Amino acid sequence: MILLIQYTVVFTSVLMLVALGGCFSEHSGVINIGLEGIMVFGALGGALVMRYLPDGTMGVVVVMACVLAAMLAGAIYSLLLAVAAINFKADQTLVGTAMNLLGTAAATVLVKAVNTAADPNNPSATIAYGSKRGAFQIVSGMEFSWLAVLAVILLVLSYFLLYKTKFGLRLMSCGEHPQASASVGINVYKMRYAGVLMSGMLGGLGGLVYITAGVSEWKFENGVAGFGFLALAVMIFGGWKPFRIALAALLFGVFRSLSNVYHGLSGIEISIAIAICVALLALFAYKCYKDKKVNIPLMVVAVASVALPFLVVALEVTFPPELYNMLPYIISLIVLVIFSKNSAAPKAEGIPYDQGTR
Amino acid sequence: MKIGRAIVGILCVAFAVYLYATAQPLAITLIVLALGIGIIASARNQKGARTPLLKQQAVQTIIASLGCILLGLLIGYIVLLIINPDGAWKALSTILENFWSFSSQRGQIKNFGNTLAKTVPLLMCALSVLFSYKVGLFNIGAAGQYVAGAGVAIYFAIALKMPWWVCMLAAMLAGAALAAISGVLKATRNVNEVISGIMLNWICLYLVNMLLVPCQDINMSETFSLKKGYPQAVIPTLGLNELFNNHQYITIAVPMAILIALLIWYIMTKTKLGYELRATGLNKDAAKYAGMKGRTNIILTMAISGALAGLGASMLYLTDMAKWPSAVAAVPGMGFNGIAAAFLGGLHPIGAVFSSFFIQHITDGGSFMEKIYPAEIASLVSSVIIYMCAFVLYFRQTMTKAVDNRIERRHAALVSNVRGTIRGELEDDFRSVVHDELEKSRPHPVSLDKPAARTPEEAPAPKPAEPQADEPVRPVRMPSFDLDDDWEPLSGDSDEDTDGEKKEKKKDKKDKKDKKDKKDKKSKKGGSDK
Repeated sequence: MILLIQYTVVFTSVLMLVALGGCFSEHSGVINIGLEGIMVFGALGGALVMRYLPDGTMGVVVVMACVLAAMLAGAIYSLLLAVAAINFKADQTLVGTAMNLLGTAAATVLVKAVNTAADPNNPSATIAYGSKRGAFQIVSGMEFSWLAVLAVILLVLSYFLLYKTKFGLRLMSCGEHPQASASVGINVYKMRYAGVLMSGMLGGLGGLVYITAGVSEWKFENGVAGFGFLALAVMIFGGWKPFRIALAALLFGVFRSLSNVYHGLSGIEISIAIAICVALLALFAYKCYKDKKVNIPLMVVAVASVALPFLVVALEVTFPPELYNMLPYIISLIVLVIFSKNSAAPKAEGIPYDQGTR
Repeated sequence: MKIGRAIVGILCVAFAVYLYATAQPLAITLIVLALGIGIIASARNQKGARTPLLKQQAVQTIIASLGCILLGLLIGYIVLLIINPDGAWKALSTILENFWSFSSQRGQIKNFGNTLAKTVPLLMCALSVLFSYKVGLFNIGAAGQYVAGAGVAIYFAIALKMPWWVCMLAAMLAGAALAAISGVLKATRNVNEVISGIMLNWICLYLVNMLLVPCQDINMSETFSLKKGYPQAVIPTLGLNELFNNHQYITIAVPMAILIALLIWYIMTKTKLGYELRATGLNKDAAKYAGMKGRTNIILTMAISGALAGLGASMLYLTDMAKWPSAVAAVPGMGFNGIAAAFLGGLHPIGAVFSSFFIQHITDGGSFMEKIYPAEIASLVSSVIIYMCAFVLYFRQTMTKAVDNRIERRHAALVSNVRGTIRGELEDDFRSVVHDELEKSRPHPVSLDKPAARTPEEAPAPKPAEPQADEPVRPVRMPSFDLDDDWEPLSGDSDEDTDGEKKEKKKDKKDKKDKKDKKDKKSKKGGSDK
């Protein structure tokens, strides 16, 4: 059970951070498909710093340096998207896809080069953290990382930034109707740059959280195993709103950890986890009902279709772990279908801003 | 169609193939190939008006693609230099030479066959992506449709022991069905096909992992070999493999893929369906207004696109060249590489044939480098190429604008030249008119037809008002226009004029005015170009 909770905490904070990043980018009007690549680069930045810091460094310094490096690496990498999508009006999906491919390839090449330079007989793409990884743990030996705390702080900060500051409201206006924003003197290009760079920072940090959890080294050939895409799903399910994104991240985090530690769990533990999931789903359904954005029968069907497999599990029918991996995507797809008519997505996302069209 | 040019172009392409076959440097081969395709393309455009070469879409695309490739290679080279400058050039040429880096002919042919066999699925994915992109749909789900095709093909082959063509059809249907989900969601609920495609990619990956559990060879932790256990499901070779030194993976899938590329080109350009699809892609609302069924077309396009990706997967997995490992953790990159090939090929089916071969070529070449260089450099290069492809549209617009500007400048120069000439003529006219008027105002009567013949030509324009010849468009309204009234008293002064004469003169004046108006309009037109 403790293992399940540990995994859930890690996955939830990763998904939350990256989805918040995606949220900033999309609110400014740029679709960020390249989150996966950004995560890889952020992870790479953090891991390299961790590798090169001397062994006796203070824990606080290690954490701070890694976090800053990851954010910086993510932000720099996200410039690729910003320049192409904002200045050159490129197809954002294409750029994002290229960034995902480039992220893994470039990180692998870089790490291999670094490893070979240090030791010619070691052409692997693995970075080992050594003893410094202990700095991240709140309680040594347990996978509760300081980064999870940081994630929660960033969540609150993001909410305030988006909804309570001039900057955030302006940012969101650029994703809804950039021409209108420009007409009242907001620099849409700057705002979009800010959005994309922030998504780079948060995405990079998410990558760092992902690779430092529960392992003592990271193989960069593997990238981040689709967490960037999962974060997109979280963002959609969270309706582009920070706190809902946190809830969605929790839900999908439970799913993901269930698929990872499924075999070591007893029936009761699984049932509890599932109960949490169903409760979360019910919470979502209630919120949607309160928003009156959706017709209730569809919502009931959706919740039922998600909850039914769990009932089956509770009745001791074994399911392959792949199912838990699949569920987040299925749920997001259902949500997309239900909400499509009045989607919460920023209206102008994915459309290059052209000053000429007013 | 200019037959001569087309033949020259085809010869160029043939020469490029020859260069390739004799292991000449790839850069030269590429340039010759591009030249050939460019000439063929320019031969097509020769109806009526001549489009400047640089403005032709095909030429622009080829230049852009070559630029992307060069930039990608340059960045790859820089990375190689940073890693180890000594062998960097050799490593880069190994990537570019791929199988030619083998000394024995056997090795060359074997690895050429490998590259060719792996190009097939890549080409199919590229076709899938470009076909849907023509309709304005970004089929990022090609990766998932590829996975579905692979899973279903293997399942039908191993679990159901079906012959190869049934497996292929099933894979096609699986891909089509998966893509049709995206299509239906897009058409009926307006769900972005990119997002639904991404979700379906992963759903499908996990489904296929589940589906193929009974087909796994526990010892190898991948699916059973088709050649050993299920030869009925292996795509037949029909003797094609003998061309490649009995290469076991060269099957009829290779020519099939090229034929399908041609077929897609035919459907897109020559059929009513293709016309409708392209029209929908260019302007959805206009297409709908013209009575095309937008929704059906979206679903149909996605289904065809998915079928292509699914078929591509079956063409690889049914040769037994690749097997499905147990519990794959990430969506295979084939579909994403298909996006690269589609855009590098300028979103043209024939271009995709070359571009997908190129991408597979450098990917395979990457694995032959010395071990100090990571093989992933090849995928680094190809991902830089896709990234660069995102700028192609911008590049094209800039290029078109530059060409237009140049043409306009040339036109403007021409116009001002012509105007200068006209002005010179006008001056001559003016002199002769003044001369005539002077003649007329003499006491003795003048013959009727002379002034009539002269005056309508041009009105007298006073010298000082005449602008300099090199002054641009401004003097569109000729000063002479305003001076018409001055002309009247001039002619009125001549007391000798009879009524009839006056009438005639007035008529002439009218004629002249009309003519002048026309001229004005002309010069205005020339001016407004600027």
